[in-house]
Amino acid sequence: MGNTILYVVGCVPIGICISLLLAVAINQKIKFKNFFKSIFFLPTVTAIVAVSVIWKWLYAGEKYGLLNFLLIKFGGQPIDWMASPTWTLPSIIIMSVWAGVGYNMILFLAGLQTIPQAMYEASEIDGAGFWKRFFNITLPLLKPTIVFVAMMSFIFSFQVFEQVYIMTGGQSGIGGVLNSALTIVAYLYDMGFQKFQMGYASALAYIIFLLIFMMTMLNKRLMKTNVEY
Amino acid sequence: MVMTDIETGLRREGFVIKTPICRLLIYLFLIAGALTMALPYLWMFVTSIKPLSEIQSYPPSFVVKNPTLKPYRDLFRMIPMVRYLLNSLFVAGSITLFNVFATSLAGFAFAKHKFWGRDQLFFIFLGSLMIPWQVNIIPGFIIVKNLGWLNTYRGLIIPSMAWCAFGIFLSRQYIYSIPDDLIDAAKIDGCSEFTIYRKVILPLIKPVLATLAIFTFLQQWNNFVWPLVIIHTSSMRTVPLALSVLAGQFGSNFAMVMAGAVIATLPMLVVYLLFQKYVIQGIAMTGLEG
Repeated sequence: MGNTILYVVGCVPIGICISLLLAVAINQKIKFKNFFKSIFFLPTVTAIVAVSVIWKWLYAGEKYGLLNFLLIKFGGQPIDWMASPTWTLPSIIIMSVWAGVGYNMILFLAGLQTIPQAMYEASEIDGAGFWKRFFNITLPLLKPTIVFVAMMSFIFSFQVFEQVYIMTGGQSGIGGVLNSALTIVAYLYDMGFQKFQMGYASALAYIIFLLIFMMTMLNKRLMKTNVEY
Repeated sequence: MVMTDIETGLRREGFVIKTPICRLLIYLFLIAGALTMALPYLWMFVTSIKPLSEIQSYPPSFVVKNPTLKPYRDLFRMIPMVRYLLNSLFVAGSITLFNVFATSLAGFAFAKHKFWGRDQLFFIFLGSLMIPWQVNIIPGFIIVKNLGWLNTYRGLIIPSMAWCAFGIFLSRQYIYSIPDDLIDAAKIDGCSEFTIYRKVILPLIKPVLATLAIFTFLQQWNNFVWPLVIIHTSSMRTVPLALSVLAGQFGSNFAMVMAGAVIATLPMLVVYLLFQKYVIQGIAMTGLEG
């Protein structure tokens, strides 16, 4: 459970910040717009299993892993990504952020399109600079989208399972070294389908459902306090 | 030239950053991002055509000196990959066909017909969207087990057909916006309900259905948890399941695992690139839902 919260807390804000920045950048008048869009969106259509397998290989131990190689090349220390209890969860978080950015970006882009152009023109006349416009127009008007995306990523990341199953599964069972990445849904799977304690697993399922339900209700509340145009 | 660019830009894009340095920064940011996105894919592909000696050589390199197809040959020889691909295609395909047909029919009924308890029923369908899959998976497993459907296509396909609330919602919204006059006109011409559905409704909601179909297909092709729970025999595995087993069994043979990842990823990439417009539209639509 603690792991799940850590995962969510790590995943959601970082993912949102990056994808929002990307969306704003792509919303500019730039060349190769569609090319960039497609690239960022690729992981969304890739099976999360495939993504996990690829990243497992990127994270591979001291010598052959591409990430460690790059780290050393840029003067860092190699990291025991998936083999040390401290790094297992962050590794999965990094991968999930990578995989989720494109999806959120598309949602943000759709939100950005709804901001009336006149607003920017008016602020331009008033002499507002880039940051002023970003913080005073884009962010407030995008608030419904941001709340929505935050909710969706919360719900998705709360239910994280495949990544954990693939990345940490193996010799020591699901959850990685010392269960350092055992999330609640992985625990449910382990209980229900490895240890066959269906009742226990069902109880877990209902806890998950209640938590998600509560968050959805909270979301509804937040959505109601909409900004006025 | 620059001026007109900026002027047209102002009308279409949100806000335009004018200073060249800032624009350069944006490009750098995007390019860095794109590289980060593309790198794992590139690495996957490069690894999948490397001979063993080059995989173990240090430093790792993106240049393959002696490209080989051996990992792919191994892959298809050691595990029935073709069978897995066909399994996935069959399962995802039949779920998609059924879902598109059923949800558009249901959407038609919910949008244009009045019957007792219609709105309540629709509300229940919508509510079911909120229930996470973890809640369903254990009772689902027990039901499928008691039906004797473990390790069968039935067990894979039929329960997944029930995940159609979103499709119903989507097609109802679209059919709702079709003017009643069109349907009345068809009725006067003597069309039966089903002919109306086929000749009037279907052509008009084609774009939505295309989006829905592609979405369902992508989702089902990439679906992992349900097959993982239901399937225990090797010959019934779907592609993601096969890949996870492959990664477990031949974990040290990275070239082969990456070849498997390429095979699992490629069909969806092709589908995505062909139907990009619909996919992105679909995402934006799920966004509107909230």
